[in-house]
Amino acid sequence: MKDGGFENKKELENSKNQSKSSKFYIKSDDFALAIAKVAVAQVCESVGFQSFQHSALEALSDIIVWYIYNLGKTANFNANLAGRVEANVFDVIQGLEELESGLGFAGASDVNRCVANLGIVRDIVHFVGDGDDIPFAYEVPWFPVVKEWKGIGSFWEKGEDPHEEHIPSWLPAFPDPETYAARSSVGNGTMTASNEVKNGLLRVERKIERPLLNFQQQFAHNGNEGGSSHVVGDKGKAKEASNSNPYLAAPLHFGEKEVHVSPVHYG
Amino acid sequence: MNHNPQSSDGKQDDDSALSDFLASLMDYAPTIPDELVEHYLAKSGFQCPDVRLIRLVAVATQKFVAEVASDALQHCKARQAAVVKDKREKQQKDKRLILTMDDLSKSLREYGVNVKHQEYFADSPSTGIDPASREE
Repeated sequence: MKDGGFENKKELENSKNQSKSSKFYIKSDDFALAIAKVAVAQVCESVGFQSFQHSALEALSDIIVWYIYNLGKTANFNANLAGRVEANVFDVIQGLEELESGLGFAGASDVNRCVANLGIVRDIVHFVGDGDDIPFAYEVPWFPVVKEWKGIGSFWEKGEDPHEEHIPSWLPAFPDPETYAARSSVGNGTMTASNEVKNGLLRVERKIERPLLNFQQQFAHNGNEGGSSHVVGDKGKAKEASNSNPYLAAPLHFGEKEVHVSPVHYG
Repeated sequence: MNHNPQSSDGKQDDDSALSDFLASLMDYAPTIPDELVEHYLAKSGFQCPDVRLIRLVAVATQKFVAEVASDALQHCKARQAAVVKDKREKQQKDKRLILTMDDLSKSLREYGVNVKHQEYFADSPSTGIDPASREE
């Protein structure tokens, strides 16, 4: 189906990025909306359209997202009304009834009707039977991806002894002393008042930056030790980020590994 | 009271028909992927471990979209058939069926969804005047 360039996913993402930067409008479920747009485009193509306006496609995909959401909300409400937590097929059918009630459906006026005999279900059955099978164009991963986060263990878990008495052992352990201890102490006596604050801030920044860089270097040397333990099942693609993320690796104790520190120059 | 024995038999048939239909849903692959439907159902609080219900929602949504799209297609074709100025030009244009905001809003109005599209953003008083009146 011809369009302004949604032929493959890369173009889709690029166009999304462009529209994002130009409109400054960021939605939290952009990925799901993009998938909905592709699905709607496929259905429109099967109906007979050859191309579409972008605004029309966006409006229609917005509407079907709302439709799904509303159907779920109604079905959930019906289930809760019946005293259940999990929804039933009859809850879903009643939800469909509510959504279609504006147009009307066969058998609505029949008081003793059976839900399954409703015009709605029959319409769906006919729809499934008549139409051809059009699977979705892309393979959709399971989303939203849940990342496993293994935080720094507690004192007790790490086997460390908290140095102070007032610190219980079930609290998370302190990071390595290298990360927060300053390497070099800067002391200058002769400074003007206006420069003092500035230099003081610079000093603080350097103090933070240097140990942080040590921290980073440590992890960089450790490689991806902790990352591999986070991969669960087939969520490979989304987990690549966590695999290469050194901050998710387990912290090392002081002296466990030799760290080669290269001199770092600040601008 | 006469309805009861008939309705009970009918109910059994309907139940079996419903369960058969739900089973057949697993063979049918709806165009709207299951992951998308599950995402939005989870957002709304819908909880169900049964995959067939997810498929049912997906099929119902697909049916809804197909209905709206076919209504819009009818509007589009009706408009193309109505405008017959130069037969050769229109035959060339007839091949192109475009889903426009206009047709979509007309077909959605029947479903109770009010979609209004800004026709133009005027930067001068004469913007958007019909070409016929403009020529006059």
